[in-house]
Amino acid sequence: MIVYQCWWKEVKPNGDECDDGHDDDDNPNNELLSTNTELTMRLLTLPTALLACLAFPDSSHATHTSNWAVLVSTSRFWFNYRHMANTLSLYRTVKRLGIPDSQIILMLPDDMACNPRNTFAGSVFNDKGRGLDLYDQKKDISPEEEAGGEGGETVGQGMPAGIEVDYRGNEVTVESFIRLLTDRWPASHPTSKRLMTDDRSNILIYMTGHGGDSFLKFQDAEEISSHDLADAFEQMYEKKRYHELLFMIDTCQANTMYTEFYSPGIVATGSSAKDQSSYSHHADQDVGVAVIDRWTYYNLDFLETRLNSTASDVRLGELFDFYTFDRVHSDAGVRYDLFPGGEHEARNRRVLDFFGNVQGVDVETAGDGLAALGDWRADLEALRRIAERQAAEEVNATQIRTDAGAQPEKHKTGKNVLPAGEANMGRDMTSLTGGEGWLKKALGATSLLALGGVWFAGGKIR
Amino acid sequence: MLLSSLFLLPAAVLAQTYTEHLHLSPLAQTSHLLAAFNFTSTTPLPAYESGHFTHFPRSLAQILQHTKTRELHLRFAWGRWDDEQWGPRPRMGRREGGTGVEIWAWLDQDHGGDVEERWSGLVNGLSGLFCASLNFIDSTRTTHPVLSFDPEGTHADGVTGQELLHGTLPHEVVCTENLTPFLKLLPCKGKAGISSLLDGHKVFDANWQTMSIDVRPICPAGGNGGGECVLEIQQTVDVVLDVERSMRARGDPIPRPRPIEELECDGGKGYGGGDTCYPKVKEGEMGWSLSRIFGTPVRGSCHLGDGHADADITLEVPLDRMVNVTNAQPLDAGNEQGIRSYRLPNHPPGQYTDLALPQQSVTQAVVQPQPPLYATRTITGSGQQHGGMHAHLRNPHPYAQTITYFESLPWFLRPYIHTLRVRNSETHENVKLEKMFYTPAKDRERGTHLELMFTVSAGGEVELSYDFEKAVLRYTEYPPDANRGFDVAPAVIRVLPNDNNTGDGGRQGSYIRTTSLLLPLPTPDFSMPYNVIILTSTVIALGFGSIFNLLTRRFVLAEEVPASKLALRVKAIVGVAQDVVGRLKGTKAVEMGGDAVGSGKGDGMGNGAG
Amino acid sequence: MALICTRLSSNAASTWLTVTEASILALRRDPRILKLPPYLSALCIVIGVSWLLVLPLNQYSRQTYVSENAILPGQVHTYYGGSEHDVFRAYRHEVAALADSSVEERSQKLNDIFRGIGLKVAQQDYTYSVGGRNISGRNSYAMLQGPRADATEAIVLVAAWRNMDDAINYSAVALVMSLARYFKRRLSLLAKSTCTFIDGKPGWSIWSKDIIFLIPSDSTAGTQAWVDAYHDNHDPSTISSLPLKAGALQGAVALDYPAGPWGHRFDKLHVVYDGINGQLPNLDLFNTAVSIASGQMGIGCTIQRMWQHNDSYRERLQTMLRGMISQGLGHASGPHSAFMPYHVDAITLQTVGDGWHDEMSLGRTVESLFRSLNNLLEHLHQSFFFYLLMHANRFVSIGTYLPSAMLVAVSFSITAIALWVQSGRPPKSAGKTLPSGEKGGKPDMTVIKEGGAVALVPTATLEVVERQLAFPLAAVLGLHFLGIVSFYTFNHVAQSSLRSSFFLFAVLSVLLPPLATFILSRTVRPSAQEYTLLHSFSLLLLGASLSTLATLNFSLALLVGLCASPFSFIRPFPARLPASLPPSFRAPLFVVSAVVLTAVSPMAILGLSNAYWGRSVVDLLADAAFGWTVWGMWTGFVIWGVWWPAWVVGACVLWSGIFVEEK
Repeated sequence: MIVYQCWWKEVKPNGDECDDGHDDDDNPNNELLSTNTELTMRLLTLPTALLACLAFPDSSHATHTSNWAVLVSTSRFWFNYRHMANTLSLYRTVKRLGIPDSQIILMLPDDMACNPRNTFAGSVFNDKGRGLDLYDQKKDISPEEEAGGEGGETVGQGMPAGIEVDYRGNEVTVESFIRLLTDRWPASHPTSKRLMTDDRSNILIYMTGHGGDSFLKFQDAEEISSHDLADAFEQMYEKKRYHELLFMIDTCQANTMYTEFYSPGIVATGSSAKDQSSYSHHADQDVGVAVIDRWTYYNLDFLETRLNSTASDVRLGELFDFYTFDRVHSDAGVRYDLFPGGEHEARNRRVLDFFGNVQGVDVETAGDGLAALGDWRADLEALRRIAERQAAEEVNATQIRTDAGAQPEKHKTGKNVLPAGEANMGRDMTSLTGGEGWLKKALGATSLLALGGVWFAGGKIR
Repeated sequence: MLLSSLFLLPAAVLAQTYTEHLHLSPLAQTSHLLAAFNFTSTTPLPAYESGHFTHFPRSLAQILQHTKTRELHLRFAWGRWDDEQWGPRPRMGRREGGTGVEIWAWLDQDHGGDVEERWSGLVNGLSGLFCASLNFIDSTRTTHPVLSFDPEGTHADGVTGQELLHGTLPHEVVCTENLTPFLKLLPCKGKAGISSLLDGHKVFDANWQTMSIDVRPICPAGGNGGGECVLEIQQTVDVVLDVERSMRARGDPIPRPRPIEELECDGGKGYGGGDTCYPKVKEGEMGWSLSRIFGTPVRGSCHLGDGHADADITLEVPLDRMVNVTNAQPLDAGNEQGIRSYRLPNHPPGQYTDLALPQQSVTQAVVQPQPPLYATRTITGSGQQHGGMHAHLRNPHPYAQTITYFESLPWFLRPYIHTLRVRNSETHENVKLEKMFYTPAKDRERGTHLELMFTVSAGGEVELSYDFEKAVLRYTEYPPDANRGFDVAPAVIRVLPNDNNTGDGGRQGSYIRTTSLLLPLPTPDFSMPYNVIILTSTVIALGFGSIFNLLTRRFVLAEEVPASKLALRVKAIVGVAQDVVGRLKGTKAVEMGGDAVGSGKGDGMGNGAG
Repeated sequence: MALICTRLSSNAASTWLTVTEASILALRRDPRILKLPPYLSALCIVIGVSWLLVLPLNQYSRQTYVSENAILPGQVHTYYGGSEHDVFRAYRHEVAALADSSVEERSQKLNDIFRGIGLKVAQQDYTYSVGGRNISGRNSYAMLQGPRADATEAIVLVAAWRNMDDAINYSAVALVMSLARYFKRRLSLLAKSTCTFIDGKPGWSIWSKDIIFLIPSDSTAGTQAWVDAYHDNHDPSTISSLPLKAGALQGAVALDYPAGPWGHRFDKLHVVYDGINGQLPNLDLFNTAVSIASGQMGIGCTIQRMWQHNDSYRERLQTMLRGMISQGLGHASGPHSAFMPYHVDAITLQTVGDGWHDEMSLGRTVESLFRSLNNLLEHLHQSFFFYLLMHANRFVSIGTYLPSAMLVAVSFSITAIALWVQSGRPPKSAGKTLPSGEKGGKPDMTVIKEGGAVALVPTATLEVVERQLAFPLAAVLGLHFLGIVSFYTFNHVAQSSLRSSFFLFAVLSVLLPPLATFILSRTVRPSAQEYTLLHSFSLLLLGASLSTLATLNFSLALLVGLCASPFSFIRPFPARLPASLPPSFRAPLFVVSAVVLTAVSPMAILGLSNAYWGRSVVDLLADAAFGWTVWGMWTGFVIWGVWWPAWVVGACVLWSGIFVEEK
């Protein structure tokens, strides 16, 4: 029910256009936040201090050897076109930035491109301009525009044509997703559908769909809860299946999905705070559906404009600062505390560490002194991680609260943006205001009690 | 039709060959174009077994070798073939699949390991290779057909020691992610040669399209003796494109009404007036060209220099139709069937070949050959519990045809075989079933397999019908879109070859597949009103029931209740009977009889009091 | 069965329970309990009715909303118009030319046009024979196969050749044709240049379902024949099977736009949604139509012939009552009605009034509606199937309104139970209070001991009055059987003799109670208790069947229940009046009550209501017969098989006071 209403809130048939006014002022609470978290870090963990003083000059240097991406759309049905478009946009971006198809796990629960309802057969678009086909580069070349060169594959942004969907239709379930992360499969499972990572690989996990308070619906039939996700990540950590992990989620109340994480090395970001919904950006009146969600739209906007080459040095922090309220219409949240080095390190990571393939293999540093240094460093690393994981709990609470409460006044504006969306939907959203939840719960409880009573009495009376 | 003769052409055994071929034929009196791609490559069997796959895709070969698969047939299909307008199906329907995904293969039995296990290994491997959820083909979707499929390859010892397994996924969508790996299997990877025409946007905008992959061993006629056997992989893509639609401007496919001046009106109508327009029906053949229909001309060629010089493109249009060819060398200006064939230039690579047919009014009408059989299948009846299956077959030819009818039904559709009727539509007399194979379903383990063989008389119509019951699924067994209904795989009809229609390679006969069906099952209703009704009536039943009970029941002492006469009489009779029995048994039994009577009385009173 | 007291003492675990049971047992003996029921059932009826009256208030009704996410109403651009308008006019001329041509040539012409558009065409003949007269016709229909669909689903666009008012449906038929062409869009070739293809706008490839364009000869019978044949539930001898079929039907929209060849601009859309036997389409379909028409196209929507509706309480109530009456009658209200029994949701869009909307805006509404239906991935199931509409965008769902009908039904059950209990009482103590109650000093008690338990039980409890069930059961069953027989005769008697047979039947059924009671009192000599039981059984049956019916056809159950509500207050006419009245009043009083009872008989009510709506009873009966044979409409069955017997029983009970008392 939450989800439906949430969905209704999302859809704005006349979604307002994207405003290109970049406001680069850093969010003050964020800054404050960053300082005090770092402070606590330092105080809590002496090893970090030590580490800091003998850390290599460039701390944002990629120490991973491979890049993987898991892109999941969890909602079925034609009217969820935009979730497919979200995922495919990300797919296209990471492919453009060099992650090969073999290292992208793409989960699409339904078929939009070849859906008979789709006027543009074999294509999925993420804006009503329909400039860019996300599903497959069209090999549309006429002799004159092609000057004798070998064309075809490498038209457009020089990304290989074609698409490989690893899990589709009813295969996209919570079970298969968890199995994928933890890599527990029967022997006959094909390798192309497995996530074969190790402790030197960075993973980008992107999910989108209909969600609620710390759950995300799969195919409108089952849910994955934030606890399941957190435990899966912990298993991955224990099995050394990732080096660093960037978790992105675009759904209603997205930020509640990563509050439960407790495994180190994760940066998590979500589109909307608790009791907020994330909105679709705009609809295509010919396809007849909303084509993309706001948060993802601005992610792409950033990635397309700022990362136009595989060498561009853009940091995660800049990406996160791009999610301002007047763009996303909801409070996007970021969680740094699990990341070694906390916010500072995380914000310093290059975006390409997650979105692009690693450039060049890193040389095994075999120098004696360096080696010894390396060992010691490793120990400290281990120590610090332990200490951090203790630190994590405290920081959690503060962190999340600040995320949710960020920019209250803009929040208000967001609120009175809503009715525009609902009026033409002819749907009263009164039941959605915060305090209502308790009332509902109370009602449910009482009715349950009453039923129990009736049943008991009925049993006893005769 | 030419295709039927073409499709076994590469059987002329060469050691390592790769041929590709595109056949274009506009379908009569419609604005549709049939484009049939065929990519065939052969590899010497010994080389294959020793791991030297020359043109043979390695990824596929490994799966096949690992699962001991001798012969493989894999189909991806979508859309429906319009028999009335388009005539017989390409390649006599042998390279065509039912809606969704269909696969059948011959696996070795003798080698160690369970066949089912290797079968699941095969489908899993293929699912990874072709981005399709073939792994959903489990035991409930697997059948073992007997009559409908024969191996196409030459197997040394026939198919003894090999097992045929057949599986379908009727609702599996076919899309670009299936075409991409399909093209990757080709030597030229869809970059050069006719395969460069294959583009998801066009292929999947077709009214009917099917992709097939067939792997089979071929040995020269001399059996094991002469020449070495080869393994042939044949990939085909057949699409029926709506010429108008596929030549539309990509930017704006939404058909806004065209300006009135573009509309051609029929002036002959009485009611004049500027503002009315009775549209004229079109006549004449419209113009089209490869580059406009497929969005790109043929890029280069894919000749791997293995000697042969077969035609790459054949075109089947009336001889008086003009054709403008840009750099392709015509091999045949048009034989008696009106087929022109062209070969792409070898050098230089990277140049473009195009065929253009201008718009032109035809002089002689093309006669549309009849399909071997017309077949439709529908689900009849309504309601949540029962339904009926009804198939209608019509033989348009002046000779009788023997056919096999094959259905693999999901387990939750339970046919009543005793209601199976195969009758002539006009005379309503039963048609004699020559053979029948039926494997009943087991819930959640195995689907129904029904295979019939009977003869359709010359020009006759046959109705095949049976009733079925719908099973109620478990709560967890419903898919996310339960209220859509459940897909039932198409029926596969094989018209056995007879002396009238022995096409080439006639031992196969020709195939027809009906459309898939949608079976609505009883689904749990989660909507509010029903919960309300159920809840309230439960409460009422509980409260009302018990109070009514207390109010109307009279409580009396057990002793007061007169045992009803009937009960006494029954008891007496029982007693007598037991006495008789007892006498026969002897004295001991008599006491027992007495006891029985006594206790019987007690019961009687109890009953009376209730 | 164990003795009650011992059971009480034995389960000492729940003492409060023993108290309740004891009190209930005491209540069972209480004389007031027999005084209570009449007031109780009266209260039920009053509450039931007033419940209905508060429904139109804002607090009890709800704003409609589309709850199926897949529909996405009005989110697409609609392009129907422009040159299509000229084509439409042309088709309308063609249709007008067919106005007075035979069925054969008409369907021939229609088929030609459809074939010219490039669709698959087929036709179907049907003949129904009801009460001597034959209804026959020929449906012609065409199918547009979705270019990329998998042939498993279909949606239907219907325009009956003659609409419900038997006017020729010129514009609707023409509109269906031009929409068919527009959906199919075989653009006619231009000789001048092939370059038109580059900017030409060829066919849609958006249809995920096949679209069937159906033009039946008449609104109800033809559609019924077609739908039956589509599901193979037809009699092949009178109704020919369909040569051309698609997959499962997912929805149907019927058009009613009888404007002649020169067109007529309409003001509102009248959305008709009642199905046969009061079945309703899924509320989502209705909401989608309304929100598209009013929201996207700006066409006002109205329902239940409320041409003027400014959403006041009175009009809401009026709309609701009209809806209930037409639902209660259970007749087909348009071509869409035939689809409902097969769980195919359908509505009829009817153009009314003089305004500025032309055929193009109707066409665009249909286009948008079909785009929405095309979006459907599952059968419509999200929203309500049971609802009462009181405005185009205001409704109450079954959970809210069902209790009213249930209360009315329960009122009968209560009386029935009371009568049963009363019949179990010893006759002497039936009237006055229990002797062994308060002033009798120590009530005589009987000591019972069983096992270890000892109990005192008032002797009155132990008095046994056997109920004679044979006669009442036989009588009730017989009467119901009689009712069904009469229902059968009404369905099969020739229409010419309907009037006479009805009046004959009315007279007979008015005379039946006195005659029956008189003869019985001479022959079987049923006791007063047996009449009480008879009454009780009949009311019990009435209550049960009505409460069951309420979940299927709420309105019918409520209407019958209200008409039958007096039956639960009938008692045998007293032998002697209360002392307050002089005995001479007895005769007139009896006459009055007899007349009142006759006035609430089914025959009387049917006659009066028909007189009020200015129809003759014959038409009603003819329609009922037609409905039963063609649509399977069971309103008549409820009237003759449930209501009528209950009335006869009531009358018998009243008369029993006259004849039985002299025993």
